[in-house]
Amino acid sequence: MSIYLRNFLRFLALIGIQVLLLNKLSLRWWTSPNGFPTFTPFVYPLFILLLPISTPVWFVLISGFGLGLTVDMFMNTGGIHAAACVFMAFARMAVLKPILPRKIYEYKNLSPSVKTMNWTPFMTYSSILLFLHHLAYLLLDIWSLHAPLYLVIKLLASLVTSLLFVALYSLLFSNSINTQYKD
Amino acid sequence: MVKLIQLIRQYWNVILFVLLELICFRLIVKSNSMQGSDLINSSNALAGFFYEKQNDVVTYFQLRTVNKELLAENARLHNELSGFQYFDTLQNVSAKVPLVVYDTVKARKDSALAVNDSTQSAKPTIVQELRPFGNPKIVGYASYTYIAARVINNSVVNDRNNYITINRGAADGIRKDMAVVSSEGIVGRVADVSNHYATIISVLSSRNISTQIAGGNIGVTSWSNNSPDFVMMSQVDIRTKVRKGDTAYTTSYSVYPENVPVGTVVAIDTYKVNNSLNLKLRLSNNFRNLKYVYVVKDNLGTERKDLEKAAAAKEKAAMDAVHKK
Repeated sequence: MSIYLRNFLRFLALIGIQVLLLNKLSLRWWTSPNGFPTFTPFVYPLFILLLPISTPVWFVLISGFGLGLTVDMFMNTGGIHAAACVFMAFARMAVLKPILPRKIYEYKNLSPSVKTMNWTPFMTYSSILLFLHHLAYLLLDIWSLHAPLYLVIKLLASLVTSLLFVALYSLLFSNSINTQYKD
Repeated sequence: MVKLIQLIRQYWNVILFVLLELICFRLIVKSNSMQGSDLINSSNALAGFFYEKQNDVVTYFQLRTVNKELLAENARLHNELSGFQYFDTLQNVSAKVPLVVYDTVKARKDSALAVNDSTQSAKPTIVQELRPFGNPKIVGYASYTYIAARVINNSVVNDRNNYITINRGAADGIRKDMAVVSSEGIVGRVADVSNHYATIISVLSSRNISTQIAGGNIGVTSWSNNSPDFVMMSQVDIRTKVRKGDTAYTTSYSVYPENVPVGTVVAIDTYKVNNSLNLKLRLSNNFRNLKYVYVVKDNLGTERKDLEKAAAAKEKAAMDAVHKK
């Protein structure tokens, strides 16, 4: 499977999981009992996280924009997800550079994943970028700093659950991460 | 010139980033304007298709509760109908069928004419036989028509605007700005329509609704406390006697039909500053659990809107004339 097809399929799969499963979680009362803010875990930014390391930044930006717009279309959020995704895509290289031990161009066609980076660096990398994404999304959605505690609780709740799903996704698809792709 | 191109090449990523963010902000601002009508919404055929397929699977597991709710609603409607059975229903009925009265005087005259006229047979027609009280005459039409629709996507998590997608669209007679209610209470209003799907901006959004509490005291209800179960009703007169558990209904000033339940009072705050009460209402609808809704077609809506617009224009012209003097 070529690396393009692989990423395209991942795009479709992640949007499917996000839109058809995770967005419905907030409709269950036990996800937000008495007074706890409603929140959604976002797993679709994983597409940007898992793009090959040597992908040029302009392509990451544009694919992040496309990804965000697709999710916006399904979730009726105007352009909030797109804005958050573009922000996250822009910050990706700045986070990736200090975490990786070697120079960026030495990773040919490799994705940042558990296999190439190990658990701790990968989870650090994804938690920083997901934090930025969630912060941008929630600030744009709430559009006020009236209730900072509410923002923090909502941010933490969705960040923790998002990271859980990211780890779950990595575990589920770690078999295919093992294989090498040459193209 | 070369330097400029070099500069652009050097900061190409930053320029692209800023450009894309600007496009995003333009889209956000557009979607938050009152007009709605943005390109990116889930009423389009693609999103609607996926949501409907997903919902087809999920509804199957909810059939039992849906049945129970429909039975409860049916019983309630039967109760309401039985109350109207022996009274004059012409004044306040709202149903799909035309209201009919029988003009007995005209019927007698008609039959007298028929007897006198030698060219026509004196025998009354079958229609007259079937309607022993005279010729039917349409007094008025019900002002609302209800279109049932299934909720295929729902959201309660957003902090400003929450949208619902339904599986009925322009082909089924749904237009923008129609009110949407369910058997429990108000739901929202139609924001965008495609051929077979429509998105509804739900009550859980930054739009105000005119509501009234028992005794006809009017207030403004809006969603502010970020919980999908509660709304705040403000600007209620401080002299109003309200108790916890009282129900708030929509008024005829709102886009909704009159007297649709909004919610019940759970907390009362007094604001001495502007002599008003703030009531916290528990929504009568469970927005996490919407399955079927009714889109309300206001048959007299356009007439009312045109009249109000004409009145406003007249007022404005009069004001302009005063200012000129």
